[in-house]
Amino acid sequence: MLKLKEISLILSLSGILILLFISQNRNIEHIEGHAINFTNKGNSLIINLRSAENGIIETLHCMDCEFLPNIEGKYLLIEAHYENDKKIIDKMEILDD
Amino acid sequence: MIEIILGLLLGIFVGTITGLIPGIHINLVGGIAVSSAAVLSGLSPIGAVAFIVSISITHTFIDFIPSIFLGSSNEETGLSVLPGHEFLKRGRAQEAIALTVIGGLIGLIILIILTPLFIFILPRVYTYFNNVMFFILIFISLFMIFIQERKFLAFIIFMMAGFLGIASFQLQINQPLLPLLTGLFGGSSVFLSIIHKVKIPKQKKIPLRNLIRNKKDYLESAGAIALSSPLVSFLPGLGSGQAAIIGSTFIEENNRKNFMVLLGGINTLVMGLSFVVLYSIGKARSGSAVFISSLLENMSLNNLWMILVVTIISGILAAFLSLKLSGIFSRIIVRISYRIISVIVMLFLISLIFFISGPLGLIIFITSTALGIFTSLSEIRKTNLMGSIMLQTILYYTPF
Repeated sequence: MLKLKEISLILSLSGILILLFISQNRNIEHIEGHAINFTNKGNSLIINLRSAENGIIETLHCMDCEFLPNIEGKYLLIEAHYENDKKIIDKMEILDD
Repeated sequence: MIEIILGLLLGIFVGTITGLIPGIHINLVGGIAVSSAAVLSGLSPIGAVAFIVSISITHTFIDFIPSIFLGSSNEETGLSVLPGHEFLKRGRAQEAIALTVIGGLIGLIILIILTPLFIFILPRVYTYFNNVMFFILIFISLFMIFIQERKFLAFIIFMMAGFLGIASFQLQINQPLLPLLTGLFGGSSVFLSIIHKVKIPKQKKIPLRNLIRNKKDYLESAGAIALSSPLVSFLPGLGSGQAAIIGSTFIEENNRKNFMVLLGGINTLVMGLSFVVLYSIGKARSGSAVFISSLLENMSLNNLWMILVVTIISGILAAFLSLKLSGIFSRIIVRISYRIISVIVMLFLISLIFFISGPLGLIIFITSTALGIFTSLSEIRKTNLMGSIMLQTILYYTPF
């Protein structure tokens, strides 16, 4: 029979793995919708986007993005993650409308 | 003036209650207090500031009582659970509380000494410390691991706690520190008390004058408090937990008395200095400082003096209250089965975590409790569990 020490090790290791797995998946969000407006400030970019799913306006940040052409009104497919209560863009695909 | 006195007295009352509730973190208390318009609506901004300062300082004195008597903890008191419990099992819990109180009072004296330095020097050196913090943290972490006999296991536990901390913060739940640190330090100790049927002996009453005689030891603790607390009070991502690790490297190994003084001092000093830092560089480094900054748009030097006076008065009053309450707890604790108390505390912590952090908080709590139990049974120092905060802080300060 397993002793308390072994049980606690197994429980903590599996708990850490489960939590890491949940946090990695929970942290990533797929958002799509029309860009209402956007601001370029050097390498940082802020996009206000109306979500196609629920109509809510989402503010998305990109810390190290290249200057973008005018994307106002364009349909965007975005993969983002949370960081300090901000949604940070990881991937972005621009569709025409 | 009357409003300040009213805020101060109200703060001492509320801070005593929150301090006695197991597992409650001061940031949580401040949030509840500020959002409670009923409490603050009758007070002017300056009265409300006195209220927040008084709650915070009182809480830093009182929250050692549930840590030592019940084995529950939070970020500030986490490391006190194990040595505190040893004092309790030897019938010396009151002495342990008195030592944290002495530490808190030493913290107040150091606060007065450091305030002018923080006002004049901190704005000039702030950036420099920010740049070297990564190396300081790496050094402390390695030091913590290498002073132990079973270095590899200590390293593994440090890393496991680190990954657990990173996952907990990435989950975006409310108050992730609550289930994380409560499990690592409090939950695991309470669980072991239930399993091992801990019997609490009659608690001895140790005259305060016996404790005050030992001035040389206090000087060592005071030095450790003064060296460890300032650094964490102005840099982001650091707190009392890291200060305790840094401070413990300055005091003699296995000197539990000095360690309790150190924890008491750090707890109060870090809180007090966060108010000075808010004035000095305009950065809020504690939950309470955030609330003060929202009440005072431009903090003046006069505001700071008022805050310091409230800090000192509430600290002195809280010290007396803490000693009185520890006497009451000492008498009660031996009359009730400690196993029943432990079960009640455990159920309370589970309910609190579920209510505040939700179901994911419970998974963190179960995992962190299991890791805390494994660490205790492996006879590895629980300071290594501070890897839960240290690892992500190191990543935060990584310069490359």
